[in-house]
Amino acid sequence: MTDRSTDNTTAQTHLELQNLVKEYPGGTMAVDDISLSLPRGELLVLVGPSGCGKSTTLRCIAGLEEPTAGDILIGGESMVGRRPEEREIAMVFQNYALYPHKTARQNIGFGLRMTTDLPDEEVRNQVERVAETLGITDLLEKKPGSLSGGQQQRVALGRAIVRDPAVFLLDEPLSNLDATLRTQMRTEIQQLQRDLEVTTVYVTHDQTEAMTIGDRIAVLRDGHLQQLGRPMACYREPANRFVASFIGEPSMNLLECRVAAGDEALVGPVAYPIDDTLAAAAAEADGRDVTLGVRPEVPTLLGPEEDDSGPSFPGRIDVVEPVGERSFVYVTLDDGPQLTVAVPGRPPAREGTPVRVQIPRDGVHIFDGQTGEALHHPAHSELEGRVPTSTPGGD
Amino acid sequence: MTDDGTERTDGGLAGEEKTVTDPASRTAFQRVRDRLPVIGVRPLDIVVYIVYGLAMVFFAFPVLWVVSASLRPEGELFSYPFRLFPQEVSLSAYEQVFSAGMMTWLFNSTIITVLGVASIIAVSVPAAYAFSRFEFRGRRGLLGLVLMFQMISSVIIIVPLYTVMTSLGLIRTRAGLILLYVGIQTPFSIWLLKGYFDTVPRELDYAARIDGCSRLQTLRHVLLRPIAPGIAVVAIFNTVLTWSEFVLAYTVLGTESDLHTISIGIYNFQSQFGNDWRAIAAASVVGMLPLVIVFIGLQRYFVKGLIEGSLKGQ
Amino acid sequence: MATADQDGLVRRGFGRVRGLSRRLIDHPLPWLLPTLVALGVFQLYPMIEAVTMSLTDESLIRQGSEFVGLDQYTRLLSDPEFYEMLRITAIYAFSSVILHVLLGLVLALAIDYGVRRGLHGHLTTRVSVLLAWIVPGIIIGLVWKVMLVETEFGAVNHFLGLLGIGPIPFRSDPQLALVSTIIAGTWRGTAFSMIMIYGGLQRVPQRLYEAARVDGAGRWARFRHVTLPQLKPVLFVTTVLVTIYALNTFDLIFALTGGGPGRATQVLSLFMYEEAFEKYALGRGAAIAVVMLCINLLLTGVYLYMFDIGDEI
Repeated sequence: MTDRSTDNTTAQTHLELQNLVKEYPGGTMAVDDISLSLPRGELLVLVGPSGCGKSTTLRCIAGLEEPTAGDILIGGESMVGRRPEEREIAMVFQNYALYPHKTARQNIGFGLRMTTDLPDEEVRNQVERVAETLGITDLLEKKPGSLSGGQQQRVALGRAIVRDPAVFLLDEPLSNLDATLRTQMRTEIQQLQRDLEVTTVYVTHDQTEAMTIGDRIAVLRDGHLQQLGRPMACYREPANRFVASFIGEPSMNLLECRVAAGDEALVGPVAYPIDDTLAAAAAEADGRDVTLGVRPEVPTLLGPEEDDSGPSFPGRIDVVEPVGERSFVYVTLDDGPQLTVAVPGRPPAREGTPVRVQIPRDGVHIFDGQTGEALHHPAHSELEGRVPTSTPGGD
Repeated sequence: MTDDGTERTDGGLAGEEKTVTDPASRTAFQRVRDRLPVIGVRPLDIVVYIVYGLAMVFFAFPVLWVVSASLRPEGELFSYPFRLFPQEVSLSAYEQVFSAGMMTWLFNSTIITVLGVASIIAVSVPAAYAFSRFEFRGRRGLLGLVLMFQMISSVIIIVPLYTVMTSLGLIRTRAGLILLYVGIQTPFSIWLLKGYFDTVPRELDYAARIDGCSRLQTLRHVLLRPIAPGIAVVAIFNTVLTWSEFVLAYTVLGTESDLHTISIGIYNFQSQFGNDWRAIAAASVVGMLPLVIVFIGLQRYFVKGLIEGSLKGQ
Repeated sequence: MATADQDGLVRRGFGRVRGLSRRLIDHPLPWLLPTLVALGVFQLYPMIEAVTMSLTDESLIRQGSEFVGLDQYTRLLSDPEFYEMLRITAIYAFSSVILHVLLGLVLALAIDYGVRRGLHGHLTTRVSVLLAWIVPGIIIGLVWKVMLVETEFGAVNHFLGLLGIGPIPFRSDPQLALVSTIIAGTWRGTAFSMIMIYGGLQRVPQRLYEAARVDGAGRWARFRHVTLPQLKPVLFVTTVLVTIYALNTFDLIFALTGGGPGRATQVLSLFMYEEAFEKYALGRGAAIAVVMLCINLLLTGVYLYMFDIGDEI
């Protein structure tokens, strides 16, 4: 499955995972054969549901866990067997893990004191320089207990960057913050990372966070790498059914179907007529089962009597969720399945209204019903713009 | 259970303040109570005050009586009329106790307690760290074993103790007794300290490792401070146990009167002085005074330790 | 920055021993070794020694010993005295448990109530109860010896005298002597139950009371349907621990009555002590020790089962 990953070896590889495996005593495969490579200065997000192995991968890079097999290279040198402080890495933890009895100053300076022989004067200068960068100079004498979540987060970042790491590891750094602060810190981390040009691996379970912050994202599930690529690539061309449903909010609609005899339609919860292109894609499936994937943005809602070209299905609106500049409409089709449709602007109709959902053929994904592998993606024009969300410096 | 309240989580009314059993007088009663919080006396309060009174008499009176008895001049204790407080204060009973060797006993008890408690802490902190921070095979079984040793009374081993200590060359030595206490009292200390270690997030260890600490340095620089209250509890607890212990000391130290601790000294003293209650009382007062002082100052930790050590995780 | 200097000093100190010791430090064994040695030498070894000894006729006043198999046990089990000791131990332990737990429950509830209501005296009460608990066992025996002096000069007898009772021979009458030891034991042991139960009370979620109140439960109903069920595990655990503790009582009785008069207060531990050290029959004493060990293990098993420690380790 990894063969779909964007090939990025053109730039100078800085951090590389080669066939990383981590098996815990008792046979739990936390990480199963993951290979990644990051050019210098890239921010890669490891994203996946809990238990997917993303944190374990990060901890293997940090040296907190020894991999069962495989290699970890930083700047071309193998790090396996080396102690964390020899790897020139720094790590920020979900709960910040600040030493509760040390002041912010001591927290930031602790690593320098333990690993270097710098004179106190120099340690102080470096701590203060970092504190200035992060705007926490006046918090230096405080202990973590008297700092707010955001301030603790900054101290934790300070502790990480003061040692001028080659690789920066962030383990769910924002999940303990409230929503407003989260967005703000996300931007700050992004800026900091760019300013320092430090190779960064960022772990999160939040796909929105992953999409917005990552240069590239690696989607993990059950210890396997599902897809590696730029955020919009993962969104537009998910490698499989899992990535399709995991990336994107609200999730892609997935309809389990079969290819009808004669290859003219997919049948299942709905009967979806297909053209040659789709038929060719569906024919690649291992069996006759395929999954039809429809992003909520793709369908159009029509009045019950309206008709337009392309397949459309009658249904009834269950719930409408206005979320600002667009609305999510949950429609139950007369044939059974429920679809989520995102429509721009105000909600078009009330709950309970009968509608038709039109699903254009050039907007659907097709996945293998058995393996989940993607067989077909809708084409999108290059002019359409690359990344609508703010992902600076995409490639 | 007619009023199965478990399903409803939001009771709305907060705190005991709003408990008024008689709904009729509720608002008026509350208004008075708000202004004079202490004066609103309920019938149950009186019952509780009676319980307090009885408890104080039952539990404190014997100690106070012993103090009172110890301060009397010779003969006063057994003269009419019966007096709760001494008519005149005399320290003659204390002189008697101190001339019987009290200083030696105090010295021995102090040295054994201080060294014993220090050793117990030195042994149990690393063990508790290991049980909390390492994953290794047999960890659960080993912890179960530690717990089992905590539960089994040390009285059981007194019969073979003489033979055992003799074969170890530790019979009739303070060092032997101290080591014995380490063996007997570590399980509880480990159990309690492990609980404290478990409350410290592991991310702190990881952060320390990334900051370049070895496990020992992590323990020293990062973990020791958060678990300091636990160490305090263990110290207080073992101080009381070690200071009070009798039967093991009696068996190990035997007839070596230079080594006798306070419990042995006082026991021998009372067998010698039979019915001299005044002197026995004085000896008792001296024997418990150090603990009482330690305890009154630190009883909060004490309570905490007891609960956490015996009922962890419930 | 004093701590900075300190840190520096310590770092340099540690720096020297790094290399090799670092490997060692990453293995749990060095951390556990002192404990394992201490437990092995001072707990396990004596216990094994007790079992071995109980299979011999070892004596304090005779050189050498012979293996006698289970003789000590068969003799013990056919000895009416042994059953008398068991009976006394059972009476002592059973009454102690009832009194400890009951008094502990009443005091814990009273103190809890007082804390919530802001009554005066709950702290003094708590300190008084706990004070009794930290007094060394030998001294407790002596304190109660002084309290229970059998003439009208004894404090208790004096007050009973005021009520027209007594003087009562607290320590020389066999039955009263047992009662006296139970009272002294309760004096000491109630603190433990009180603290345990008080701790249990603090863990009852407040919202249960609130919900019960909303459901119209009065104070008694809340106690009956919220407090007691929530307290059940703590009460069980306390009962087992107190039982183990009471069964092994030694010092207090040793000092208060010495097992007398006659053998009226000779619980198992004193019986064992007497057989081993006063009658010099180490083998027989060891056999009693093993019987006690079995009782201890049995109760520990019950404790572990009830506590369901498994999940927690």
